Amino acid sequence: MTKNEFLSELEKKLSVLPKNDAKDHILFYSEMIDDIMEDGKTEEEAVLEIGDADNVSAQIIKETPLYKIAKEKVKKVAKNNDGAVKTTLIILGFPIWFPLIISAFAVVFSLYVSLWAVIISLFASVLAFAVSSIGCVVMSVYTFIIGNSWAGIVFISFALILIGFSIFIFYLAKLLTKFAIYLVKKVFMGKGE
Amino acid sequence: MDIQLKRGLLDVCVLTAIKNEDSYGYKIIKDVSPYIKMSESTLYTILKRLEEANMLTVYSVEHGGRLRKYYRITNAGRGRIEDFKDEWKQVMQIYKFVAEESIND
Repeated sequence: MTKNEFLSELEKKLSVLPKNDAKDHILFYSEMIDDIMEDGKTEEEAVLEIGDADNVSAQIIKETPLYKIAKEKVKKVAKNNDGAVKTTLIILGFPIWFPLIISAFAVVFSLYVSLWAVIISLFASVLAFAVSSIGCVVMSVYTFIIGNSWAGIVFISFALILIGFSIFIFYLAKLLTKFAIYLVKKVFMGKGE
Repeated sequence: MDIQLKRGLLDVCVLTAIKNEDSYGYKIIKDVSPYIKMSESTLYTILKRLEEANMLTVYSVEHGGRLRKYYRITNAGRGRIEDFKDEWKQVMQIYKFVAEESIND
């Protein structure tokens, strides 16, 4: 396969990416092939060394953040004008599919927002448990001072139970926060290598 | 090799390849390949990531009628190399421990 054959195949497969991203990658590989040839290998050998256009493009796409691919797809659909019939159908169907898409996004977004609401309320309860635990310690000291050691012991045990809850819920809230952040990362950054 | 481990190693390897003098894509791969294998696509990702982290800068030079991209390390990049060396001093101690203990098995 010649360099240009490889590059045009790559360009075809990278059409799901925004044009600038695809161009960057193609320039990179073009330069790489030139350098390999300068190093002494033939054009065939250089292209072989880079590998299969399928594999290379698959890897590039895997490392591209989802939102870029989604954005490009939307751009394409907006530009896609083959046939007046298709366009008319899309326009006529607008009152149907548009609210559906909006509500789909709304559902996903509100689910995500409620996740954060849960996280915030969990942290609030961590604080509440911690504060009431301190309150119990204070009461316990007071009751010990006025001589009622039984009540004092009861208050201490409540304090311990409450601080236990506080710590447990804190770690639960931390876990949920990590998960929520992971979801954001997946949409806005690639799936990683 | 573990993927995450390799990823961290490749970053510093690329930085090392441009530490003493600016270099370009294929030369970096060649310099690093005696020690660890890296594909061209992987190099692209690493260079992009290092550039975004301001550990290197990119510039183009005319070469034989075409443009060639050169990469230059920054102070942040040198710092990353030093951090790596410090971290791995400890790893080598641990390796000695593991290797020696295993001999006694």
